[in-house]
Amino acid sequence: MEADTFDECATHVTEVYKQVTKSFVSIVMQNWQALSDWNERIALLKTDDDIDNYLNTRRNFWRFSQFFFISDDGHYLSMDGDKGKFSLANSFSDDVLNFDRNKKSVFFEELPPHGTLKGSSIAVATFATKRATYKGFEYSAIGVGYLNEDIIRILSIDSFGGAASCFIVSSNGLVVLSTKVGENIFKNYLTYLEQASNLSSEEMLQLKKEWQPFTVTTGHDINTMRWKSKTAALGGQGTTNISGVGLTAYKWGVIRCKIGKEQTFISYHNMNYGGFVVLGVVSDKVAGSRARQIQHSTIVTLLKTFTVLIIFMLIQLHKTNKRQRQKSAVALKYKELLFDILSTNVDDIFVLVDGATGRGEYVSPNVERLLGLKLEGNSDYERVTQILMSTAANNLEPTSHRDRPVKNIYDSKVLSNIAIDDNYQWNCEHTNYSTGEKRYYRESVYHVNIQDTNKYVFVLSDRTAEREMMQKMEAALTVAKNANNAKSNFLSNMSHDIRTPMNAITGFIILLDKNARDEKKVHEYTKKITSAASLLLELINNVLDMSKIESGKTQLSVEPFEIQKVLDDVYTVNSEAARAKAQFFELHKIGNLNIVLLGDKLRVSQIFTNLLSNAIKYTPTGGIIDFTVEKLPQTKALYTKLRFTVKDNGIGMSEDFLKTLYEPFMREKNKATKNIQGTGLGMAITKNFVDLMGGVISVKSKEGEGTTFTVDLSFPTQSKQSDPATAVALNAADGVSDVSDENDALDIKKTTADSGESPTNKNHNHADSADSGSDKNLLQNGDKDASNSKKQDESATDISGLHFLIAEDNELNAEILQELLKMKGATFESVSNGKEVCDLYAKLPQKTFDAILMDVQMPIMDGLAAAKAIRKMKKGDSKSIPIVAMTANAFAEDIKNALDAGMNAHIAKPLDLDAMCQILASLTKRKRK
Amino acid sequence: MKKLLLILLIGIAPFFTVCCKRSMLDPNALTIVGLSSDFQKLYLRRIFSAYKRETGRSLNIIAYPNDRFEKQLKRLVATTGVDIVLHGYDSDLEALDPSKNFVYLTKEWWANDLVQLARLTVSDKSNNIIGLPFWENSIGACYYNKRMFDKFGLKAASTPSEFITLCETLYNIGVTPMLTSAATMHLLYQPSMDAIFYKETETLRALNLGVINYSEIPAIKKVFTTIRRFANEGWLYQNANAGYEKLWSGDVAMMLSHQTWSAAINSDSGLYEYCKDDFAVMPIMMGDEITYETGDLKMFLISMNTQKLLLAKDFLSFCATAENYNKAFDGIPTNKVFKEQKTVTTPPALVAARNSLNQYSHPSVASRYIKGYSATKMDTIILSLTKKGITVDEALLQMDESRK
Repeated sequence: MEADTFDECATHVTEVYKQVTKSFVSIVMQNWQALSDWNERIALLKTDDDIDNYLNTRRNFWRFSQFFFISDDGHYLSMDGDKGKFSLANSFSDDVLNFDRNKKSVFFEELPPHGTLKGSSIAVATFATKRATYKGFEYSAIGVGYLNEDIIRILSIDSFGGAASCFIVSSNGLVVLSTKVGENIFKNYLTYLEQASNLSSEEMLQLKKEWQPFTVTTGHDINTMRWKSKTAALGGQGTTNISGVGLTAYKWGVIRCKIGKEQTFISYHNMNYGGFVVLGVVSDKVAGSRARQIQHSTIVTLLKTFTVLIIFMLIQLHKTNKRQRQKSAVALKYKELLFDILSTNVDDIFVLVDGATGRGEYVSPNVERLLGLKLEGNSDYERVTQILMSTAANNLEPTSHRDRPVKNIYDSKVLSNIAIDDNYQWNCEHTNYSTGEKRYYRESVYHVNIQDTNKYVFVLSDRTAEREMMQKMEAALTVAKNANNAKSNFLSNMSHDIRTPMNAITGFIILLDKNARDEKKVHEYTKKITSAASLLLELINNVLDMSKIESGKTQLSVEPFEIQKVLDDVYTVNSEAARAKAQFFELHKIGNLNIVLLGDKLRVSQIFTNLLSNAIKYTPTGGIIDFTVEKLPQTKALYTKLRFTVKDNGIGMSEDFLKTLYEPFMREKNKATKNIQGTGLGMAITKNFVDLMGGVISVKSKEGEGTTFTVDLSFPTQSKQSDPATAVALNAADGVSDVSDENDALDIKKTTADSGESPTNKNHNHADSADSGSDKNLLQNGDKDASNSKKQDESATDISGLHFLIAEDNELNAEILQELLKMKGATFESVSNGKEVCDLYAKLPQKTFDAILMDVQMPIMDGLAAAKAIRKMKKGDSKSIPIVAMTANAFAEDIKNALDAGMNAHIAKPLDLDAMCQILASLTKRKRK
Repeated sequence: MKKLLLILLIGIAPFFTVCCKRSMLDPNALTIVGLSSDFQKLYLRRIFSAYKRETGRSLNIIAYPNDRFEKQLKRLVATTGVDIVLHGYDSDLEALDPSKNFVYLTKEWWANDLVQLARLTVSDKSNNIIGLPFWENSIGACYYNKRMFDKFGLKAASTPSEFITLCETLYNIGVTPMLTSAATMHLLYQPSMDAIFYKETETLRALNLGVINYSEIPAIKKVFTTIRRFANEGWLYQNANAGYEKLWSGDVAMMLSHQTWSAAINSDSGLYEYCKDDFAVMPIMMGDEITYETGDLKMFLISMNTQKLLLAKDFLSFCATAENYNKAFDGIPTNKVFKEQKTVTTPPALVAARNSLNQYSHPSVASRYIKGYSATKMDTIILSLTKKGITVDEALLQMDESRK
């Protein structure tokens, strides 16, 4: 051990046992002081019992083991009554028994085995008193005894981790107290050292001397390599820690020697009182380790501090990193969540393919929803990827991108040709494996490099909805274009079709004006003007019909009608034109058609009129037109199914034209049709009416050979005698409005038809009546007496002498009407609105007028209101006077409204004089009858 | 064939021996059987002579070698030919079931003359006296070289921890703390076990019932751990030949011994530094117990099958008479067995330690009450332990095994 280490150890050991010494001295001093106090008190107490009581209180407070009254010869009597004699073998004062006043002493005793403490080892502090008696025992000192273990406990020596020993020894080495449990085996420590240590005889002598009583002046300090000692007066420098205990001098030292096999530090502390020495024995190993421990503790403390700082910094760093990681993790989690939500819910499928292996590493979960491919787990990516690839490869719809052709994008060669951060795009159709639905995808592949690894990201964007929308938009655009074209065509057609007759009209009017004196030419020009006007009127009517059809406002006016009459009327109306072209026109009725059907009689008539007028128009002079009606087998209860066939041997139609036959304003333009007038709306109207009635129209035609139209229609059947309630019920079931039982207009048409029973056709023979034995009626236009016919015509239109009340707000129209009536020999009263009509009619006597000609749209009161008002009047003829509507409102609804208002007939403007006269004649003739 | 004949002859030799001896015995005399070594005791020879002399009766004394006696004992007591057995609890007497094979003597007049420790020693579990103790009442203690201790400034330990410190200190200054021999081997463990089971009777019952084993008794484990530490630290000087030269020379400081053997510490020849007067005793403190072991007293047991019960009891009364036993034990170094025993010589060391002896003495309980206990087997195990051949746990395990 080096000198420094020795000094360090010696200092440390010395300091420890200085504290022990101070503790022991303090105990002794306190007890001496206590004995002094008690002595004074005891001297004042009068009885032994008082002394006992007092000492018991003191024992309870001080917790001493025994209190002794001691005689000059060492005998004692304890407060518990124990008697004996102290051996005083372990006394620190040779004159312990020479108790002078205030003489104090300390000694250790082993009590006899009897008595209260039964052979215990105790330490006794004594204090000389005046001679006194206690319980008959004469004493000259008092003493207080503590069990050695109590002393040890009070000293509480646990330095050096319990590895050191501490003794209180007498100056001659006698061990009186060992403060360590299990150490009480030494009898005399000087003897022990003498035998067991390597101290020389001289050293032993010096040591013994060191333990002897001394004075400050005789004290001799030692300072060698293994022994240091110092003597000091108490209160001097370096001894302050044990000052105040009433001692005068203090010698302490430490010597290092070998005891047995072990190097040991022996620290002694001679208090120079009574010859007791506090002895500390610490092995070199323990003391050195302690010294080293102190050295190391500083280093360790620094290291610990540094380590703690490092750890703290690391922890902070770790926490910061952790927080960062947590933030990143949270952000990543949010991103993943967001990606999951997006990838699940958007219509884009994401596929990640490893560039090296070509294996799928990720497939977004929406692949199940979009393509019906189930992902059984992460390991299923490859399977799904392969399916997608194979599907795409088979259905690849390449779109050029960046001028590079794309054959099979999944081909690894193709992939490898994609530069990093470049991409390909193409269209592809996939079938949903679950629903079988075909979906259209815009697919992209991006070549990316992630940590030196080539990856291909496939994005399959569902563009089905977009594509459908595009298709719809394209269709809508086409429709819009078509509509625009149609509009242009319509305007063009209208311009042409209106200008053509108008040109004829204006042209012939000019000619008429120039040739007004030439009756023949006037008649010829007038006839041509009338023809052109008729065409113009037809055009207007057709345009109006077409307009209503296309606007969806066309409604069928369902009512009972006799089909046979309708057929006859149609035949009659068209036979005139056929006769004019010397065509052979026949109506064939197959089956019993004497039935009443429920339907729109006017539309049915219009269908066949259109077909027949076309047949007549496009069949050359002398051609054959067959109009056949046959009753088809009943397929539905209470319904009658009829087939109408219009066949001609006319010019026919080309196949191309047949494709657009039913489109408005479509007319075949060739040499044959060049001089044939037409609006191009007839077939479109016809087709729409047939469709409206739930029927079917078909056509067969060949150019130069003729055309055959077939129309199949079904009508609810009503027997001729059926009650109106049934009809109403049927109509109501069809959602049709009410039915009028009386319809003078039908009668009129019928009549008109009747009037045509004598058609003239020079090219054909004809029969007057139908074959009675056959269902087939044959009406034939043939030669009849023209004059007779003329007479009948004149009679039918004769209105001369009749007196009319006319209402017309338009002065020009009123004038025309007035002139026409004048021309026909009729008279009239003219007013300009419905109210005036009512007023005048009400004012004048009944039967003043034969009929009322009523415009519908008038100011103040319209014609319909006026008609209703008149019918409501309580005038004699107010219910029967014929009221005829004359209006430009020429639709079926307008006719119906007029009839509903109580009018008897409807005449559309422009006025057809003959027709008007026929109607008026008919109405008034009947009345006249 | 010759070998077979030789084996046969050796096998039947003891039988012929007994028969031959019997044939020479006095059929009217009491027959006393015991170990041949025991019959060599001076006080026994004295009492037998006195009996013969005083009563005019003869005694048939049949001595057996040590290795055969225990084996023959069960058969012997089953016969009517054996009246009295000289035996003690230090052997497996409990296995012989004394309550069935020996006559209870609790009500004999001399019972009250026995000192307490002697009475305990000759009683069974139910405190029935089964024999008359007639043996020196040796004390098992730790004999230490007091003069050597003084020389080194040391004193006797008073606690187990002080005992360990003492051993450390002695060893540190170059003195081997403890001497042990084959004859004293059992003192390393048995006195401590006696003290443990004397106080822990419940533990003893549990051990005998097999509910627990040795390793589950911490105090027992501590004893054997201490023994093993002695071996490990080099604190034991083992002398198989029971030579005490090392003790006398001062190379060894202590010895666990009965006073019987302490008598052998007689180095007054001047050849050695220390003599018997230099030795003092302190308690045995192997483990946590502080104890002296009272000796296993050999006693005269009357066989339940004797046909001379009155004569046998008369013999015991003769021995228990104060005048007779004082003459027999005159000068014998022992503690008292009988209260009126006045002629024995108690060693000064024991006299000096009388207070401690009174405080810490325990009867020999382990050998008597531990079921299956065998001192011979235990010694063998402890020998292995002190030779560091086995661990403490292994020793405890072997101890349990040895009782089966």
